[in-house]
Amino acid sequence: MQRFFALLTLVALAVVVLRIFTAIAVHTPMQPAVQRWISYAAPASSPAAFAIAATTMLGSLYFSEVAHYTPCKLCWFQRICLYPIALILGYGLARRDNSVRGPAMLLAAVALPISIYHYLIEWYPTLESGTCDPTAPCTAVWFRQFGFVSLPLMAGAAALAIISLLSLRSTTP
Amino acid sequence: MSTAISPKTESRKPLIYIAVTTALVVVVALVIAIASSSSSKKAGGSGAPFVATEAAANGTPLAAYDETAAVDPAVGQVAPTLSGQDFAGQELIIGGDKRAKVMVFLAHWCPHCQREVPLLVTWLAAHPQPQVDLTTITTGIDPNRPNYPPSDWLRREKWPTPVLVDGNSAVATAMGLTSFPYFVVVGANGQVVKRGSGELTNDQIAALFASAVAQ
Repeated sequence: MQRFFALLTLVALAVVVLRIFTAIAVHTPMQPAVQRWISYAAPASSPAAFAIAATTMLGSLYFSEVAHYTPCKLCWFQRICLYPIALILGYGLARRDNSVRGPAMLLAAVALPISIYHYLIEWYPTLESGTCDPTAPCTAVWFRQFGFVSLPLMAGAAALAIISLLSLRSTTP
Repeated sequence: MSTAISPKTESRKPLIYIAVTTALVVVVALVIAIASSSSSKKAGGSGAPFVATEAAANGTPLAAYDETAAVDPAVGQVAPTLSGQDFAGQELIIGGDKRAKVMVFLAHWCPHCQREVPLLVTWLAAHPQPQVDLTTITTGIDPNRPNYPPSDWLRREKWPTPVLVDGNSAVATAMGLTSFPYFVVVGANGQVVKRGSGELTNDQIAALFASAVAQ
Protein backbone atom coordinates (compact mmCIF):
# COMPACT_ATOMS: atom_id res chain seq x y z
CA MET A 1 0.00 0.00 0.00
CA GLN A 2 2.96 2.31 0.58
CA ARG A 3 3.83 1.96 -3.10
CA PHE A 4 0.21 2.51 -4.11
CA PHE A 5 -0.14 5.76 -2.17
CA ALA A 6 3.33 6.84 -3.29
CA LEU A 7 2.23 6.47 -6.92
CA LEU A 8 -0.89 8.52 -6.21
CA THR A 9 1.40 11.14 -4.66
CA LEU A 10 3.35 11.32 -7.90
CA VAL A 11 0.06 11.81 -9.74
CA ALA A 12 -0.84 14.66 -7.33
CA LEU A 13 2.55 16.25 -7.96
CA ALA A 14 1.94 15.93 -11.71
CA VAL A 15 -1.34 17.82 -11.23
CA VAL A 16 0.60 20.58 -9.45
CA VAL A 17 3.18 20.79 -12.24
CA LEU A 18 0.39 20.94 -14.84
CA ARG A 19 -1.31 23.72 -12.88
CA ILE A 20 1.90 25.74 -12.67
CA PHE A 21 2.36 25.25 -16.40
CA THR A 22 -1.14 26.58 -17.14
CA ALA A 23 -0.59 29.56 -14.81
CA ILE A 24 2.54 30.48 -16.77
CA ALA A 25 1.17 29.58 -20.20
CA VAL A 26 -1.80 31.98 -19.96
CA HIS A 27 0.75 34.78 -20.21
CA THR A 28 2.27 33.41 -23.41
CA PRO A 29 1.09 33.10 -27.02
CA MET A 30 -0.44 29.76 -25.98
CA GLN A 31 -3.08 31.71 -24.05
CA PRO A 32 -6.15 30.89 -26.19
CA ALA A 33 -5.49 27.17 -26.17
CA VAL A 34 -4.70 27.16 -22.43
CA GLN A 35 -7.84 29.16 -21.65
CA ARG A 36 -9.94 26.74 -23.63
CA TRP A 37 -8.41 23.89 -21.67
CA ILE A 38 -8.95 25.68 -18.36
CA SER A 39 -12.59 26.45 -19.11
CA TYR A 40 -13.05 22.80 -20.04
CA ALA A 41 -11.28 21.40 -16.97
CA ALA A 42 -12.45 23.95 -14.39
CA PRO A 43 -15.82 22.31 -13.68
CA ALA A 44 -14.02 19.11 -12.77
CA SER A 45 -11.60 20.80 -10.38
CA SER A 46 -13.80 20.59 -7.28
CA PRO A 47 -14.61 16.89 -7.73
CA ALA A 48 -10.94 16.17 -8.41
CA ALA A 49 -9.88 18.10 -5.29
CA PHE A 50 -12.53 16.21 -3.33
CA ALA A 51 -11.17 12.89 -4.68
CA ILE A 52 -7.65 13.85 -3.58
CA ALA A 53 -8.81 15.01 -0.12
CA ALA A 54 -10.88 11.86 0.40
CA THR A 55 -8.02 9.62 -0.74
CA THR A 56 -5.64 11.48 1.57
CA MET A 57 -7.98 10.98 4.50
CA LEU A 58 -8.48 7.28 3.76
CA GLY A 59 -4.76 6.77 3.19
CA SER A 60 -3.92 8.49 6.45
CA LEU A 61 -6.43 6.32 8.30
CA TYR A 62 -5.03 3.23 6.62
CA PHE A 63 -1.49 4.02 7.77
CA SER A 64 -2.51 4.71 11.36
CA GLU A 65 -5.29 2.18 11.91
CA VAL A 66 -4.29 -0.73 9.65
CA ALA A 67 -0.52 -0.39 9.28
CA HIS A 68 -0.26 0.90 12.89
CA TYR A 69 2.06 3.80 12.15
CA THR A 70 1.63 5.98 15.22
CA PRO A 71 0.89 9.56 14.10
CA CYS A 72 3.26 12.15 15.55
CA LYS A 73 2.32 15.69 16.63
CA LEU A 74 2.95 17.18 13.18
CA CYS A 75 0.98 14.33 11.58
CA TRP A 76 -1.96 15.33 13.76
CA PHE A 77 -1.68 18.99 12.76
CA GLN A 78 -1.76 17.98 9.10
CA ARG A 79 -4.71 15.69 9.73
CA ILE A 80 -6.60 18.49 11.46
CA CYS A 81 -6.22 20.57 8.31
CA LEU A 82 -6.68 17.93 5.63
CA TYR A 83 -9.52 15.76 6.95
CA PRO A 84 -12.11 18.57 6.99
CA ILE A 85 -11.30 19.41 3.36
CA ALA A 86 -12.87 16.13 2.21
CA LEU A 87 -16.00 16.89 4.25
CA ILE A 88 -16.20 20.53 3.16
CA LEU A 89 -15.69 19.77 -0.53
CA GLY A 90 -18.08 16.80 -0.32
CA TYR A 91 -20.70 19.08 1.20
CA GLY A 92 -20.07 21.69 -1.49
CA LEU A 93 -20.41 19.13 -4.26
CA ALA A 94 -23.63 17.76 -2.81
CA ARG A 95 -25.10 21.26 -2.46
CA ARG A 96 -23.53 22.57 -5.70
CA ASP A 97 -22.04 25.28 -3.51
CA ASN A 98 -18.80 26.77 -4.81
CA SER A 99 -18.31 28.98 -1.76
CA VAL A 100 -16.66 26.05 0.05
CA ARG A 101 -13.59 26.34 -2.18
CA GLY A 102 -12.17 29.22 -0.15
CA PRO A 103 -12.20 27.49 3.25
CA ALA A 104 -10.88 24.30 1.67
CA MET A 105 -7.98 26.18 0.08
CA LEU A 106 -7.28 27.93 3.38
CA LEU A 107 -7.05 24.62 5.24
CA ALA A 108 -4.77 23.17 2.56
CA ALA A 109 -2.63 26.31 2.74
CA VAL A 110 -2.22 25.82 6.50
CA ALA A 111 -1.34 22.14 6.06
CA LEU A 112 1.29 22.81 3.40
CA PRO A 113 3.98 24.57 5.51
CA ILE A 114 3.52 21.98 8.26
CA SER A 115 4.13 19.23 5.70
CA ILE A 116 7.19 21.03 4.35
CA TYR A 117 8.65 21.42 7.85
CA HIS A 118 7.84 17.79 8.69
CA TYR A 119 9.49 16.61 5.48
CA LEU A 120 12.56 18.74 6.21
CA ILE A 121 13.07 17.37 9.72
CA GLU A 122 12.79 13.86 8.34
CA TRP A 123 15.87 14.58 6.25
CA TYR A 124 17.56 16.85 8.79
CA PRO A 125 16.44 15.63 12.26
CA THR A 126 18.67 18.07 14.10
CA LEU A 127 16.54 20.97 12.80
CA GLU A 128 13.99 19.97 15.43
CA SER A 129 16.09 18.63 18.31
CA GLY A 130 18.85 16.18 19.07
CA THR A 131 16.61 13.54 20.60
CA CYS A 132 13.73 11.22 19.72
CA ASP A 133 10.54 11.15 21.73
CA PRO A 134 10.04 7.50 22.78
CA THR A 135 6.39 7.41 21.69
CA ALA A 136 5.96 9.22 18.38
CA PRO A 137 8.90 11.28 17.19
CA CYS A 138 8.21 13.55 14.22
CA THR A 139 11.67 12.86 12.84
CA ALA A 140 11.11 9.11 12.43
CA VAL A 141 10.70 8.06 8.81
CA TRP A 142 8.19 5.23 8.48
CA PHE A 143 9.11 4.66 4.84
CA ARG A 144 10.57 6.39 1.81
CA GLN A 145 9.17 5.08 -1.44
CA PHE A 146 11.32 5.75 -4.53
CA GLY A 147 13.85 7.19 -2.10
CA PHE A 148 11.89 10.37 -1.36
CA VAL A 149 8.12 9.81 -0.97
CA SER A 150 7.39 9.74 2.77
CA LEU A 151 4.20 10.47 4.70
CA PRO A 152 4.66 14.27 5.01
CA LEU A 153 5.46 14.49 1.30
CA MET A 154 2.20 12.65 0.61
CA ALA A 155 0.28 15.13 2.77
CA GLY A 156 2.10 18.12 1.26
CA ALA A 157 1.51 16.92 -2.30
CA ALA A 158 -2.18 16.46 -1.52
CA ALA A 159 -2.42 19.98 -0.07
CA LEU A 160 -0.61 21.46 -3.07
CA ALA A 161 -2.77 19.55 -5.55
CA ILE A 162 -5.94 20.66 -3.76
CA ILE A 163 -4.81 24.30 -3.84
CA SER A 164 -3.82 23.94 -7.50
CA LEU A 165 -7.16 22.47 -8.51
CA LEU A 166 -9.30 24.83 -6.46
CA SER A 167 -7.41 27.86 -7.77
CA LEU A 168 -8.14 26.81 -11.34
CA ARG A 169 -11.52 28.49 -11.46
CA SER A 170 -10.48 31.69 -9.72
CA THR A 171 -7.66 32.30 -12.20
CA THR A 172 -9.75 31.56 -15.27
CA PRO A 173 -9.57 34.74 -17.36
CA MET B 1 -9.01 39.32 -13.68
CA SER B 2 -11.05 36.28 -12.87
CA THR B 3 -14.45 35.53 -14.19
CA ALA B 4 -16.19 32.54 -12.72
CA ILE B 5 -17.76 30.16 -15.15
CA SER B 6 -21.47 30.02 -14.59
CA PRO B 7 -22.59 26.65 -13.25
CA LYS B 8 -25.35 26.71 -15.82
CA THR B 9 -22.87 26.60 -18.65
CA GLU B 10 -20.83 23.86 -17.07
CA SER B 11 -21.00 20.68 -18.99
CA ARG B 12 -21.14 17.39 -17.13
CA LYS B 13 -18.70 15.94 -19.67
CA PRO B 14 -15.53 16.96 -17.77
CA LEU B 15 -16.96 15.40 -14.61
CA ILE B 16 -17.34 12.08 -16.37
CA TYR B 17 -13.86 12.35 -17.83
CA ILE B 18 -12.31 13.20 -14.47
CA ALA B 19 -14.16 10.31 -12.82
CA VAL B 20 -12.94 7.87 -15.48
CA THR B 21 -9.40 9.28 -15.31
CA THR B 22 -9.35 9.08 -11.51
CA ALA B 23 -10.57 5.50 -11.59
CA LEU B 24 -7.94 4.62 -14.22
CA VAL B 25 -5.15 6.28 -12.21
CA VAL B 26 -6.18 4.39 -9.07
CA VAL B 27 -6.36 1.06 -10.91
CA VAL B 28 -3.00 1.58 -12.64
CA ALA B 29 -1.35 2.66 -9.33
CA LEU B 30 -2.82 -0.40 -7.60
CA VAL B 31 -1.58 -2.76 -10.32
CA ILE B 32 1.92 -1.25 -10.27
CA ALA B 33 2.02 -1.32 -6.45
CA ILE B 34 0.94 -4.97 -6.28
CA ALA B 35 3.33 -6.01 -9.06
CA SER B 36 6.31 -4.19 -7.54
CA SER B 37 5.63 -5.36 -3.98
CA SER B 38 5.38 -9.02 -5.05
CA SER B 39 8.67 -8.75 -6.98
CA SER B 40 10.41 -7.06 -4.03
CA LYS B 41 9.15 -9.83 -1.72
CA LYS B 42 10.77 -12.40 -3.99
CA ALA B 43 14.02 -10.47 -3.82
CA GLY B 44 13.77 -10.11 -0.02
CA GLY B 45 15.63 -11.96 2.73
CA SER B 46 16.30 -9.98 5.90
CA GLY B 47 18.83 -12.27 7.62
CA ALA B 48 18.71 -14.02 10.99
CA PRO B 49 15.42 -14.01 12.91
CA PHE B 50 15.16 -11.48 15.71
CA VAL B 51 13.36 -12.14 18.97
CA ALA B 52 12.47 -9.18 21.19
CA THR B 53 13.24 -10.97 24.44
CA GLU B 54 12.34 -9.41 27.76
CA ALA B 55 14.95 -7.93 30.05
CA ALA B 56 14.91 -7.09 33.75
CA ALA B 57 16.44 -4.52 36.07
CA ASN B 58 17.29 -5.43 39.65
CA GLY B 59 17.72 -2.57 42.07
CA THR B 60 16.18 0.81 42.77
CA PRO B 61 14.98 2.39 39.52
CA LEU B 62 16.51 5.69 38.54
CA ALA B 63 14.31 8.80 38.36
CA ALA B 64 13.09 9.78 34.91
CA TYR B 65 15.81 11.79 33.21
CA ASP B 66 15.09 15.50 32.88
CA GLU B 67 17.68 17.34 30.85
CA THR B 68 16.39 20.70 32.07
CA ALA B 69 16.95 19.85 35.74
CA ALA B 70 19.90 21.64 37.35
CA VAL B 71 20.83 18.57 39.38
CA ASP B 72 20.27 15.00 38.27
CA PRO B 73 18.88 13.10 41.30
CA ALA B 74 20.17 9.81 39.88
CA VAL B 75 23.82 10.85 40.12
CA GLY B 76 25.44 9.00 43.02
CA GLN B 77 22.68 6.39 43.13
CA VAL B 78 23.63 2.75 42.61
CA ALA B 79 22.48 1.76 39.14
CA PRO B 80 20.24 -1.28 38.83
CA THR B 81 21.83 -4.45 37.50
CA LEU B 82 20.44 -5.30 34.10
CA SER B 83 19.88 -8.79 32.78
CA GLY B 84 18.51 -10.24 29.60
CA GLN B 85 19.67 -11.72 26.33
CA ASP B 86 21.76 -10.54 23.42
CA PHE B 87 20.86 -10.97 19.73
CA ALA B 88 22.15 -14.54 19.76
CA GLY B 89 20.03 -15.45 22.78
CA GLN B 90 23.00 -15.55 25.16
CA GLU B 91 22.45 -14.37 28.74
CA LEU B 92 23.84 -10.91 29.32
CA ILE B 93 24.26 -9.19 32.68
CA ILE B 94 25.23 -5.54 32.93
CA GLY B 95 26.48 -4.35 36.33
CA GLY B 96 27.95 -5.73 39.54
CA ASP B 97 31.35 -6.35 37.92
CA LYS B 98 33.27 -3.36 39.36
CA ARG B 99 33.89 -2.01 35.87
CA ALA B 100 33.18 1.53 34.75
CA LYS B 101 30.73 1.60 31.89
CA VAL B 102 28.92 3.80 29.45
CA MET B 103 25.42 2.50 28.76
CA VAL B 104 23.92 3.48 25.45
CA PHE B 105 20.18 3.09 24.86
CA LEU B 106 19.21 2.93 21.20
CA ALA B 107 15.95 2.68 19.30
CA HIS B 108 16.13 1.20 15.81
CA TRP B 109 13.57 3.68 14.42
CA CYS B 110 15.11 6.84 15.91
CA PRO B 111 16.96 8.90 13.27
CA HIS B 112 19.18 10.45 15.93
CA CYS B 113 20.28 6.98 17.05
CA GLN B 114 20.86 6.04 13.41
CA ARG B 115 23.14 9.04 13.04
CA GLU B 116 24.93 8.50 16.36
CA VAL B 117 25.77 4.82 15.89
CA PRO B 118 28.31 5.20 13.05
CA LEU B 119 29.92 8.11 14.95
CA LEU B 120 30.35 5.95 18.04
CA VAL B 121 31.66 3.01 16.01
CA THR B 122 34.29 5.20 14.34
CA TRP B 123 35.24 6.95 17.57
CA LEU B 124 35.63 3.69 19.50
CA ALA B 125 37.75 2.17 16.73
CA ALA B 126 40.09 5.16 16.95
CA HIS B 127 40.00 5.44 20.76
CA PRO B 128 39.94 2.02 22.45
CA GLN B 129 38.67 2.18 26.02
CA PRO B 130 40.32 -0.56 28.08
CA GLN B 131 39.07 0.88 31.36
CA VAL B 132 35.49 1.49 30.32
CA ASP B 133 32.96 -0.96 28.94
CA LEU B 134 30.50 0.20 26.33
CA THR B 135 27.23 -1.53 27.07
CA THR B 136 24.34 -1.23 24.69
CA ILE B 137 20.63 -1.67 25.21
CA THR B 138 18.25 -1.80 22.28
CA THR B 139 14.82 -0.75 23.44
CA GLY B 140 11.60 0.78 22.14
CA ILE B 141 11.47 -2.23 19.79
CA ASP B 142 8.51 -2.16 17.45
CA PRO B 143 8.23 -4.36 14.33
CA ASN B 144 5.84 -1.81 12.78
CA ARG B 145 8.46 0.90 12.94
CA PRO B 146 11.25 1.57 10.44
CA ASN B 147 14.70 -0.03 10.44
CA TYR B 148 13.44 -3.19 12.15
CA PRO B 149 14.95 -5.45 13.39
CA PRO B 150 17.63 -3.73 15.47
CA SER B 151 19.90 -6.78 15.12
CA ASP B 152 20.21 -6.25 11.34
CA TRP B 153 20.82 -2.54 11.80
CA LEU B 154 23.58 -2.88 14.41
CA ARG B 155 25.26 -5.74 12.53
CA ARG B 156 25.21 -3.61 9.41
CA GLU B 157 26.85 -0.78 11.34
CA LYS B 158 29.48 -3.22 12.74
CA TRP B 159 28.54 -2.39 16.33
CA PRO B 160 31.50 -3.58 18.40
CA THR B 161 29.92 -4.79 21.65
CA PRO B 162 27.13 -7.19 22.73
CA VAL B 163 23.66 -5.68 22.83
CA LEU B 164 21.07 -6.31 25.53
CA VAL B 165 17.60 -6.75 24.03
CA ASP B 166 15.01 -4.87 26.07
CA GLY B 167 11.88 -6.19 24.38
CA ASN B 168 9.52 -5.01 27.11
CA SER B 169 11.28 -1.65 27.72
CA ALA B 170 11.58 -2.59 31.41
CA VAL B 171 15.26 -1.71 31.50
CA ALA B 172 14.68 1.61 29.75
CA THR B 173 12.04 2.54 32.31
CA ALA B 174 14.19 1.44 35.25
CA MET B 175 17.08 3.54 33.97
CA GLY B 176 14.90 6.65 33.60
CA LEU B 177 14.93 6.90 29.81
CA THR B 178 12.83 9.76 28.46
CA SER B 179 14.30 10.19 24.97
CA PHE B 180 16.71 8.60 22.47
CA PRO B 181 19.65 8.20 22.21
CA TYR B 182 20.18 7.94 25.97
CA PHE B 183 23.43 7.56 27.87
CA VAL B 184 24.08 6.51 31.45
CA VAL B 185 27.64 6.61 32.77
CA VAL B 186 28.28 4.27 35.70
CA GLY B 187 31.50 4.27 37.70
CA ALA B 188 33.44 1.21 38.82
CA ASN B 189 31.67 1.47 42.20
CA GLY B 190 28.33 0.94 40.46
CA GLN B 191 27.09 4.48 41.05
CA VAL B 192 25.62 6.68 38.35
CA VAL B 193 28.13 9.36 37.34
CA LYS B 194 26.23 11.12 34.62
CA ARG B 195 23.21 10.82 32.35
CA GLY B 196 22.55 12.45 29.02
CA SER B 197 20.42 12.31 25.94
CA GLY B 198 20.71 13.34 22.32
CA GLU B 199 23.24 13.20 19.55
CA LEU B 200 26.84 13.62 20.70
CA THR B 201 29.84 15.05 18.93
CA ASN B 202 33.22 13.30 19.08
CA ASP B 203 34.33 15.63 21.88
CA GLN B 204 31.19 14.88 23.87
CA ILE B 205 31.71 11.14 23.39
CA ALA B 206 35.28 11.52 24.67
CA ALA B 207 34.04 13.49 27.68
CA LEU B 208 31.44 10.83 28.42
CA PHE B 209 34.02 8.04 28.51
CA ALA B 210 36.44 10.21 30.50
CA SER B 211 33.78 10.89 33.13
CA ALA B 212 33.35 7.14 33.72
CA VAL B 213 36.89 6.86 35.11
CA ALA B 214 37.25 10.36 36.54
CA GLN B 215 35.91 9.48 40.00
